[in-house]
Amino acid sequence: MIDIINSPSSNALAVYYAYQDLGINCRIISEASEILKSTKIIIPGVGSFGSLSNYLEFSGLITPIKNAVENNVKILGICLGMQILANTSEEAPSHKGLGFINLDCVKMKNSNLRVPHTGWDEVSISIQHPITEGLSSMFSAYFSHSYFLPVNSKYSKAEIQYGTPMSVIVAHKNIVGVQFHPERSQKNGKKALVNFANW
Amino acid sequence: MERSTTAPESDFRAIVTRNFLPFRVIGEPFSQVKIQQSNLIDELMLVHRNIGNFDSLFLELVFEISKFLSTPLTVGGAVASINDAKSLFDRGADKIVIGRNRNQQSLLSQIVDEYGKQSLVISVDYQSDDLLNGIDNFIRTESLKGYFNFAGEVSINNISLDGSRKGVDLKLIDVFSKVVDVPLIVGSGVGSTSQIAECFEKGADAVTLSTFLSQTDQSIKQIRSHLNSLGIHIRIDN
Repeated sequence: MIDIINSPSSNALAVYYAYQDLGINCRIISEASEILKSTKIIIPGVGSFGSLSNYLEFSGLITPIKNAVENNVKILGICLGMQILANTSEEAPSHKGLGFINLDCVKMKNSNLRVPHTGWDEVSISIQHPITEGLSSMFSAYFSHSYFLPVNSKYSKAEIQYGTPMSVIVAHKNIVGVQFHPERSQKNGKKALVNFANW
Repeated sequence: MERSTTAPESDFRAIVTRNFLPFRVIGEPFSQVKIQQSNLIDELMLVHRNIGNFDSLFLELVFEISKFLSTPLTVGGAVASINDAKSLFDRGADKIVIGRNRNQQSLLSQIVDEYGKQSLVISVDYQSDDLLNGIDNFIRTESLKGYFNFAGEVSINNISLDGSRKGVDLKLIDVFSKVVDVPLIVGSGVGSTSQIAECFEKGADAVTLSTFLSQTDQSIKQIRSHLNSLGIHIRIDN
């Protein structure tokens, strides 16, 4: 059963209905006790690093999530949900992420580019991962973010170039994060969601 | 999109407008959205035209649409409070668009604090008369409203050109694109694919199409292919 964490202001419902549309069972959860039964967990995006960090802490979800990861439950973080897998974010310096990915999120600097990075962009797969199975080596996906994870060869599986290289798929053991929104990336997004379900 | 005056209360109609007034009904929103999704449009913007207060029927429509949608969805129509915004986000809107209330900084601030800047599109709808004192003056007046600091994207629309297919306001796009540092959406007046290309060349990041799509036999696929042949790098296949 894929469990989607219902953080406030997240688009958990969009991910839920994306899976329903694909005929794949999932549920939306918000209680720590529900995570004990999870076989796969999704942390959806939308919101801010600080508010998601607070929510996970005050809902008592951090320990169950970390235990689940130790027990090889697979986790997918989407957009902000990917960023929370990291240590910290410049968006909310006094808040902590889950620390599964030993990186820090940084803010996009305007320079010549429009921020947020909003719209479809081309993802370049550098290292194949179960989540990218069946996707072209360069595929389009939908993005909507102002912070990003820098490219690090230990974790980065796919990147985009938006002024500077940005890591848009990170993975480590049973954890994977995608910066784009698969639930809003049409055919490619659906494939990524199916891939996570099959992983 | 507006509420039908003759059909049962639960009906909505998808419309195209001219000068922002209802011009022609093109169908029913649900099926129009499905058509555009199957055409692989990049994003959908759903704006309720004659909304007074947010009502449950509109929210129900947004919810039903977002259940099958795998395309980014922006929704608007007199969003006036954080509760209005929350109602839309809770029902699957990825972004909301605010126009007439764009000078309500406390509202914009609440939305950005809770949902992030990327969730907010500010719509600047203007008449050609608004530019009589010059484009720079118009932009200065807009910047004083303070919404530039909260906008994740800005959408500019010339009401006088809306639905005309006579072409877009390229000079304003050119100046605006140098002033805003957030993604710029333009629309109103598109009459050809080469005009869409001109919008991108002048600095737009996105172009909205309404009348152009309903009145021509151009497919989205053809438009994309044509834009790429004109040197505009836009995704061709998904």
